[in-house]
Amino acid sequence: MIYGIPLEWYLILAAVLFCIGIYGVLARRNAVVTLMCIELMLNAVNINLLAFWRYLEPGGALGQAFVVFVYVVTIAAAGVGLALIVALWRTHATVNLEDVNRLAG
Amino acid sequence: MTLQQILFLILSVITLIAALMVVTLHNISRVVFGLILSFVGVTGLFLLLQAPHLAVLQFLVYVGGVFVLLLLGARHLDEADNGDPADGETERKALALLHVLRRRFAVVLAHDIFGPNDREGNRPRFGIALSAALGAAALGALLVWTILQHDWVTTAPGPVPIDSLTALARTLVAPYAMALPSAVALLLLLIALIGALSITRRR
Repeated sequence: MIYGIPLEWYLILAAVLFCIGIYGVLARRNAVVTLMCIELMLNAVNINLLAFWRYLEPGGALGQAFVVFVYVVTIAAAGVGLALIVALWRTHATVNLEDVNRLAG
Repeated sequence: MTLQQILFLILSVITLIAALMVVTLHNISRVVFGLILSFVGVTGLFLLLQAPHLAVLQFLVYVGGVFVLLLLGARHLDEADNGDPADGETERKALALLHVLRRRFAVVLAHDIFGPNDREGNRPRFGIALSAALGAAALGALLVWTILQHDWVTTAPGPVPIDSLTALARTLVAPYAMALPSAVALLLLLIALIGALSITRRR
């Protein structure tokens, strides 16, 4: 325990945050909000990685390195995802994911 | 109960409430506000986990980068949706909101969550929302049960090295550690940015 906070607290917080993000991805129909919910889920993963690093392997920096990689993937996902949404807006004039049911524009 | 425990609880409540704002509210500016609040809460948790460098990185990357990207995207799409951004609609709405806020905050929130459909028609249908909530709750219950079942560390973890930034830098560039994954990650970022540019290019 660090500062009297057990590891489980962080893990449960991350699990709840992840599930909130999953709910958002499943239920929301606005593509931008769906992208935001994916960012929430990645944040939960980061909390998990850092908690494991701090509680199990604080000597090395591998856990922190993983978080840096998650950042890189997050930025790539946000960039490409938003570009896709803008392209979606141009071709379909909507950001509602339920209106997008054709593969060929 | 130690000060840090109280701090943890406050930060996690902020993070979770902000995340709930993101998934339940339907005004895009309130959603973005919830997102930034959630990111700030996670930044505080990183500080509590004694990773100050990553907390700064989190703040720069999410609050500074991803947030601005999403905000601009949301604004762009919102304006495109409105047609004419200068019709004073937003101002009128903000004033009305402020007026009601002064009187009954909870009513506004309830209206935003349960009220009639907004003009974008983005409110999830009740069946979809219910099944999504049930699925997410089931997954959450499974995860929490698994976490509580497992017997985690019993010994006290060692201290964080003073120069943990140096350790992180070594890990990222050392040939026997993460040098190759770092190069691959940078390549991924380059490809993603070029791809985003080429997708959004006007033809």
